[in-house]
Amino acid sequence: MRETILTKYFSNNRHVFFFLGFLTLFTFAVVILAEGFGLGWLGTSFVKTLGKTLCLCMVAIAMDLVWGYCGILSLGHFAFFALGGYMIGMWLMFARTKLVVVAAAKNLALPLTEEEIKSAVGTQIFGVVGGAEIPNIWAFADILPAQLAFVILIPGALALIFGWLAFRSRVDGVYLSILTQAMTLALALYLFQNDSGLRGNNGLSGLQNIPGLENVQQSLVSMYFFIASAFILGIIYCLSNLIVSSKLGNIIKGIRDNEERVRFLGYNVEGFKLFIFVYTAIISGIAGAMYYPQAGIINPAELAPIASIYLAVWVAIGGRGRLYGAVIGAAFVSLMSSYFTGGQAPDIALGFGTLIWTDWWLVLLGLSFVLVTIYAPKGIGGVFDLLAKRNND
Amino acid sequence: MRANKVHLLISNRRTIKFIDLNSWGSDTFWSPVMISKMFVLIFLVSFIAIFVFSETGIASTRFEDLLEKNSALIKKSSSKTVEPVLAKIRAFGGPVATRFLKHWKAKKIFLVKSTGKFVVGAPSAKNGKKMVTIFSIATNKQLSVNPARDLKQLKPNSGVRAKIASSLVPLQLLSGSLDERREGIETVERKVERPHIAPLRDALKKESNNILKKRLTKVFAYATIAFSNDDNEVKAAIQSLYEDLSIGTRAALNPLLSETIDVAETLPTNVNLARVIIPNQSIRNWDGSVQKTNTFWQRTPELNTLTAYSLLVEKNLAPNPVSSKIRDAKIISLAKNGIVAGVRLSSLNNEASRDAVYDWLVKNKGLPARVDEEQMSAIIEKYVFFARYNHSSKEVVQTAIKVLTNINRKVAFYQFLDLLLDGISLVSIYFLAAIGLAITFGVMKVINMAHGEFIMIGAYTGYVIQLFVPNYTISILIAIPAAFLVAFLAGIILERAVIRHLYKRPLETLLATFGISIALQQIAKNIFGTQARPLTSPEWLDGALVINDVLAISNIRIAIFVLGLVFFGLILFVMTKTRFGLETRAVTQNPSMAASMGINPERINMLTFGFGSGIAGIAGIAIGLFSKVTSELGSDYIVQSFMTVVVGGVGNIWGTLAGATMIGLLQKGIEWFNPSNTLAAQTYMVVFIILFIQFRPKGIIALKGRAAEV
Amino acid sequence: MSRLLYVDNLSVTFDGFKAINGLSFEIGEKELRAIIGPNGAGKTTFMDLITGKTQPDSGTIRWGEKSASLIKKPESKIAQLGIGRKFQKPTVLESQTVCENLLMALANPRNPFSVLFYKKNFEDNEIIAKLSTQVNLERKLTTAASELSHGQKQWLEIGMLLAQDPKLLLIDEPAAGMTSIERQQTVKLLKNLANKRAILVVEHDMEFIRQLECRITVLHEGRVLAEGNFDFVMQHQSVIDVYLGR
Repeated sequence: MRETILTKYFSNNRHVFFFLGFLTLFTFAVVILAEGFGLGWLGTSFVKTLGKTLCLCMVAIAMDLVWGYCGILSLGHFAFFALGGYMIGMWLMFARTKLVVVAAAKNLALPLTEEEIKSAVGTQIFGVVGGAEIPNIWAFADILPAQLAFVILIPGALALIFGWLAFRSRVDGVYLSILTQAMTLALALYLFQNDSGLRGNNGLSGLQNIPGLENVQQSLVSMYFFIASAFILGIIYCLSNLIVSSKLGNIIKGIRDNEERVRFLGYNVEGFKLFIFVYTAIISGIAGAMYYPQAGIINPAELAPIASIYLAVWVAIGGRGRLYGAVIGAAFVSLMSSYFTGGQAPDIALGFGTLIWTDWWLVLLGLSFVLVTIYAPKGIGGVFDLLAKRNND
Repeated sequence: MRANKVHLLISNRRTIKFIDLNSWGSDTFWSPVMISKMFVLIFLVSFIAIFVFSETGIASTRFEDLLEKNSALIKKSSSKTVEPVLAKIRAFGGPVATRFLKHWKAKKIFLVKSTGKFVVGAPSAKNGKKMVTIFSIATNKQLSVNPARDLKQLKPNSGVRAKIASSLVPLQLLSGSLDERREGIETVERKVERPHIAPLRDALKKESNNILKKRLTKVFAYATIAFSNDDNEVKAAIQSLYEDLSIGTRAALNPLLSETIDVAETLPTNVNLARVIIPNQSIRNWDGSVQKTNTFWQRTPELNTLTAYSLLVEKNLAPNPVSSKIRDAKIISLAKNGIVAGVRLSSLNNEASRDAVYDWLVKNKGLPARVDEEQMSAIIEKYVFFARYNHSSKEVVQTAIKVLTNINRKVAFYQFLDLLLDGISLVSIYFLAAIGLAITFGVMKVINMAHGEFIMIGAYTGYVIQLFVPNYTISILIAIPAAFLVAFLAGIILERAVIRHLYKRPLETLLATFGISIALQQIAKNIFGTQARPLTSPEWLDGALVINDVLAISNIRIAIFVLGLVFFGLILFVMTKTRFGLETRAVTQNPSMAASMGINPERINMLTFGFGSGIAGIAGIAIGLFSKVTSELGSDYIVQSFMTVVVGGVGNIWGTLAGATMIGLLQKGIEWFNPSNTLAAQTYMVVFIILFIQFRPKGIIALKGRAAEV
Repeated sequence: MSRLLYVDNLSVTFDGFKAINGLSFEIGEKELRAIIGPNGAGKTTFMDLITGKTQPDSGTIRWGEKSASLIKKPESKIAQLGIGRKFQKPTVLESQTVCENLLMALANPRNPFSVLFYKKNFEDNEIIAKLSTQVNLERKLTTAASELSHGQKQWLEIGMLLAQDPKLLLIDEPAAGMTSIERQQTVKLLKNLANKRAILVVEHDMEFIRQLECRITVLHEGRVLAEGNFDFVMQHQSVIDVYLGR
């Protein structure tokens, strides 16, 4: 019996090896084909799109853990994603503006004092929202390690407080979804204010310029970020698989299927939910911190509640309750979206008119959610089940 | 990642706009429609004048001479240069001068290019050519019809027109025509000037029309307050405004409280003292009295060390402090080869080192010494700071404060009332938007993310109907049932095609209906385009119920409130008193039991969903009336609608009402504290809702016991 | 026989309806007890109160040697103290295998980090093997729970409760939907289990209760109507009134 369990464990986790192998091959292929070091077949902006897609895969994994495995349909994970982006964005913007300010002051008779640098940076960054003071929340913006820590701590802390409140009062199911949506909305509304300290609806911009890498070409910078994104995605995949294939994974799946049973087995269900919620919030934060330097700009519109629903839909299309499903869904839908809405897709001439993809893609996407939800609840991942079954037969 | 809009913001700005209609009351008379009507009146009056005044001859020719002499100033008039000409015209007086001024103001004076003479002109068109019929200024007789290009129209700018109007005032106030007098009063009401006092006094004696007399009395009081030197007269004038809430009154009284901040070694006795100011401590109240800072509600003190010290400098009571800018400039100018006081300039990257270098320069080069904050405080200690009223009479100021206190208190009360009414209209809107959801989500437990799109469908239905039925009243009357029908059908299709399959998986209805939502939005965008489409309300909804100068309730607000009430009653009736409502509740509580009682659950589910959707369609008409119709109209409301239902308590129409009331009033209440920032109000409100749900997860009106667990 | 669970003057109201009304009750260690009562007597609510799912309005619930109060304790704490609960409908974790179901129930540390780093050891495997034999599922260890028959699910749930090693087992209508053979096996199983722990069975089926041969408590309108052995209860006048109509 012991042997069968062991073999089962390995056969269950085969997808990790497949996934890592594929990811490595894909990374090498992109590196070879890209402008950065390779043949130059892939443009810089396409490499950035691929890098961003990898980040979206990370947050999709988070969504899959929290929804597909634990049954909490959170509509707030994009808020954590954006928060992570904001945290790293603060450093990028501050450090870069500071470099610019110092460089501009090179020819002045007197070197700038700390205060002068600060006030110049303040005017540069906050001029658009009619301010010059640097808000208190930027106190550590100059210190990279601090902001990197915040990428993890701030989404984690928000998830901890929110989750603790929500799970403690046994808000679940639909109500929890609406509550997480309200949280996202509150955060978005807050960030939209000019006096939020994060530049209101202007958001943070110029994030693609990495301080310290001014002399490196964007084609190379995009490669660095692409490789780093792939690496982090790999780690997150393994870590998340560790969780779902452990006894913890059994318990959170148990919570999804029958919360009551798990509770009466003596498990503190709220604690487990909170653990998963915070863990996935942190993954989302990290994903956001990798995403936005590649996107170059972050603004509050990014965390509109609708974004988090899209996230849920990716996972649904990819197939929830399996990590590779989330990755496939996020990659597939977001790449398709950028293909069709980017205007590259050829229009189709019908007898009575032309099908313009930029106009009709969303309609198609929307209807495909409906079809997937009704007829293929397992999503694309279900296809793998069928293949596996055929192999076994 | 195409998800990039927080729709709510847009919607709320719209809401605010709609609610701000109460500024309408005071401006009615200056609406373009009224102004144009007035011009027509003036025009008619001037025609009558032709027959009434028949004198011509020497006087008028001389008037034309006067014009010719000042031709340059009249042609290129500006508010700065026009006064001397106006003075001459006023001095000339008589009906001719009046006529000229009026026509000039109405842009009806033309210059004949060939002769350089001024004439009155009436533009017309003939055979597609622009023509002008011209009249003599002196006689008002028609002279000829000329092509427009032979003439140059004088177009005085608004500043000049105001001056002309002011010059017209004395003539108009004593005119025999009611409209003339009204126009004159309106001019003074906008801006009263010293020369108007005498004509105002005369007019007041003669005026027979009660309404005009009231207005005259008020304006005369303003004039007295502004220009009279007799304190008793001023006091009486102030007293007479005790009950008046208009902005004009407040604008007339406030200058009496204007003050100057001053400083002296000892407090002078011969000034009209407002208060003694303690730098860094005291705070100014609105009426000029003083308040000490306290730890509970810290406000910025009126004077801080720096501002107080700069006042001393201004009065030459203290040496000018060396600002960091001057200090740095001195350091740079005294540096040689980048070295000053034995220190490299490039090492001066902090304040302390720059101060040290400057202090060395003070000692060795005789520069003026710096004054640091401690020294400033020490100097400030020696003086007493105070504010004095610019008005010399204590009694006048006190009377003004007394009257203003009364007015402000009343204004505050009405503003509160206004806020409350604002809140109620917001409640009605939230309620209308959410009530359909109260049925589909609250009763059926279906999460319909496309609910907002049903609202949108209703609004577009209204728009399309208005395209075919141009009468707005009739079209709205048709639109309401039509919107219900269209949304009802859309709801039934959605229920049959999608939701039916997902009753057992509520979370997944969220996803599927979200798909429907984005598809519908995009389809609407493809059909109607991205720009906003108007849904015009009938004219009788445009007005407002004016209670007083502060409070006016726009009719559309009332209409939406009534609509909300009607729907509440209707839905309550349908759900509790009809067979359909009974069956719906039976099916949602226990479908299999209901089925065994002969109810067809499939049919009931379909109809209930259609009913909820249809209600959303009607809400779309209401929402479309005060905001523009766009494809995103619905998504602006969806999150808030869900929150309304959840906060109120699911499965209960009363709960939805309670939820909408709480959310709407709360939002307005928070806005009251920080009116400039509606975003903050919304943020706090959503945070409050999140916390509220923690403590009452089942909402305000919660079903308890076994029923709640079904 | 020492007292294990002691309930005194317990009341709870839902929307004006007194579901439990001044109920007092006690059960000793290793005692087998059956609770009967008509619909709405408060049987399920009583179990909810003991397991912490519902909080009482008034009254006391005390547990174990130290007579610790169970009121306001979360369900998971109460379960960890040694009260296991079997629901009326079989509630097992359908998407997981029998083995995983049992493993989750084992009396091991229950915080997120210790379960994350949990490694299955030899002892645990042995316990699972033994338990699965006890509930006749030794051949189904790697089968997903969703593929078991109704009766097998009931057993699996009982197996999970046993894995928890509780001192008190609350069992809600175990015989419902079972074949008569399964029923007899269940009676045997329950009697057998009662050797080591206290068991509280809620049941409608009189025949099943008769076979249990234990003390019986009759609940009616939220309070105890009668208590005694099968024959005593059956002949009790008020019980007859309630069951047969007055």
